[in-house]
Amino acid sequence: MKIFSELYGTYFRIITHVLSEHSMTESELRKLIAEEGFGETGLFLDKKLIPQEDGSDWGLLSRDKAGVLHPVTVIEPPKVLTTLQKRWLRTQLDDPRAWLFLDDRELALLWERLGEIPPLYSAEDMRCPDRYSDGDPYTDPVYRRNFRMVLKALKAEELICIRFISRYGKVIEGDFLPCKLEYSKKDDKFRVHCTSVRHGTSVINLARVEEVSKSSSKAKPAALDESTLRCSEPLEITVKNERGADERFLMEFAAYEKRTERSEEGTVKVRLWYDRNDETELLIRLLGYGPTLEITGPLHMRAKARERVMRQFGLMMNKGEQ
Amino acid sequence: MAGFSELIKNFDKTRDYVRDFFIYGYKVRGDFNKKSARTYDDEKRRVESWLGEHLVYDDSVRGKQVAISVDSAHITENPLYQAFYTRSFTENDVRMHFLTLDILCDGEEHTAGELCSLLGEAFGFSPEEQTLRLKLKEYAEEGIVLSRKQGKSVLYRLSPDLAENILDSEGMYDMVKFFSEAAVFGVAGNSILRLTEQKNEHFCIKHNYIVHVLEDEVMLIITEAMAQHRLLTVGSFKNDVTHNVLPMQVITSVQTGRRFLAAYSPGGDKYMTFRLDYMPRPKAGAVFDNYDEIKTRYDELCARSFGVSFAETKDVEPLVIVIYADEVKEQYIIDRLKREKRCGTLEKTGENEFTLTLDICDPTEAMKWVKTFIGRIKRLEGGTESLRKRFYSDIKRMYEMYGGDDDEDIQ
Repeated sequence: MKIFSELYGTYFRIITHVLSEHSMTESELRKLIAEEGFGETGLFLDKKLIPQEDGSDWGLLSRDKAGVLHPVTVIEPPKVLTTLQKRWLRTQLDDPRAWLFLDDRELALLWERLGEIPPLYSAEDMRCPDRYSDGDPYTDPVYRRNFRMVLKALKAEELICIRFISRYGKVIEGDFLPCKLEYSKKDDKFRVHCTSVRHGTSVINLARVEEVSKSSSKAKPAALDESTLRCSEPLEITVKNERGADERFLMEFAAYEKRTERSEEGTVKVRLWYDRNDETELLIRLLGYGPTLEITGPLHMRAKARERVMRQFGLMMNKGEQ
Repeated sequence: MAGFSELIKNFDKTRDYVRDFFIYGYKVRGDFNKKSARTYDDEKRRVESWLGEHLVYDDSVRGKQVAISVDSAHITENPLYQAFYTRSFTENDVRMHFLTLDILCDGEEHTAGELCSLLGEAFGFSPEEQTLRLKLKEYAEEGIVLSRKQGKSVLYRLSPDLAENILDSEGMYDMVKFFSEAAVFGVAGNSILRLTEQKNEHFCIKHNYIVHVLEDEVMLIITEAMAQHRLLTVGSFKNDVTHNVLPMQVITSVQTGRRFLAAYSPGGDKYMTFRLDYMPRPKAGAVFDNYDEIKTRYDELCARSFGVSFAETKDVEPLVIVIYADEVKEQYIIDRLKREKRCGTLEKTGENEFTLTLDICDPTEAMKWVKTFIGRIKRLEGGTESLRKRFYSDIKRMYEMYGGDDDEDIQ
């Protein structure tokens, strides 16, 4: 069983698409290859699919008198799921998050179809020691119902009424347009990004949602503008080549959009873009690097780091006010 | 395929380059000195071809840098999956695949010999019977065809497990869309979506280390060995040392992005961890008889491991961290302590004071997390003397780094 195989490759997928069409002009074929292929796919694949006078093509298409191309095959290439794909699907059935997407009938059907196939791995084979322990209750019927209503509205681009408890303990109710569902691997939680005429852009933790119902409002809020959540200027950081901090930092913050530059002295200067909602999380993670990392800008972030360090130094010197 | 090709035969070399472009981003041509400059140029050109828009170029004092810059929380499809769709093949491979499957769509069973004749008759294509037999054997292993023996012959037919026969509802596809980004081996789920012309548009994954996909070939060998309790020979790109070990678990840090294989070394009678991103494809060996006993010992060690270290530090005591948190205004700090603590107990030990006691084999592993509470740590006790000294020295250095009482930038 292979995972790196031409069976899943872009070229085989393009050919499947081409052979599924009854007929195609050369320009349609070239367009399809340009759209579905890699940057340079057309340079090679065009001439292997289009019949060539010297017979150097793959013989998968023939040309009629009008110059139109037709597959030499009779039937559309079958879309068979491989063992890898079936085992992967089977693996997900053991995950409680699968319950969010499937109703009882769908779950039973998938078990019937895939139950005897061994999963690729079991939950016990994997461990995430630093995942937070208060993840969402995926099998809770209320959570499951709310999730499905949010997902349905998200796909249909429909307003829904959401009642939830804010992180300050306040009950909020309003009409929201769900725009994306975000899952955090660290928090083990789902959040829905919404827009609302009254509340603007909101990010709601699904586990804090008490009820989701249909909305009678006709007012359409503006589309989600993620740039409003983005930092106005990137964090500027210098990471020292000490205790492997540079390597550790680059791996840890690989999930962020960033630019890096190594100086002649061996330090790495980083500019990192983030969502403003994540500012505190970022700050404390950066402080975790101790003196091997310095926040050099912007000033308000450096000031926040400095304030915490001063407070800590004060606690150590027994002169803190706490 | 003479000359440059955007397809590759072997993923190992590419894995290295893609990882370097993605993780470091500051390397210039001269830094890729393990192989020739020509190899670098070809690899870079391939990555440009596969990832296009995600590749960025910066001019630094050291030269032109190439980086893959992606904010993984804002994308709905891991762009690095593209690298897995680049396996090269021969003309025979592609013709045998599409023409043989076309014949097998008749739903009948055929021997390799019959298929050869049918290929010749229908398409004027005549592969060697032995070549076709090998291809059919490979397809049986991959689950595309089913095979059975009849006397001395082997009969082949198309697998009935078409995507439409397995996945036939919106909910099922939603599940595939989500897990194709969130689960291990997500590229397998993504390949199902591409096969069925579906696309994830609604789910984004935060704190997602998309670079892990580059290790999926390694992971597949590891998970198969774990299921069969087989020994593995593992090595490292960093040195030539190899170890013969029994795999126990894959440990993933969702906060640092590092992934490890935790394994038992029968030679040294000890438990070890190996970084997956440094690991070439391991080799599976014999089945290990005494698995259950080894796994029980491993589970016991995990109960005192903060992360991936299983070695007992000399003269270690439980690590005690006393934290200040305003019980009225800063409940979120207490919540943080509760949900983030591992291997320990949390007690309220005074007014606005909470004490966390971690009984762990290697307290050094906890210190990065402990330092995320900088500004609130009233006391640090236990652990080891050197650990406490380093903590206090680190705070002093940070105090100096941020300007002591007079940071000119901030005043």
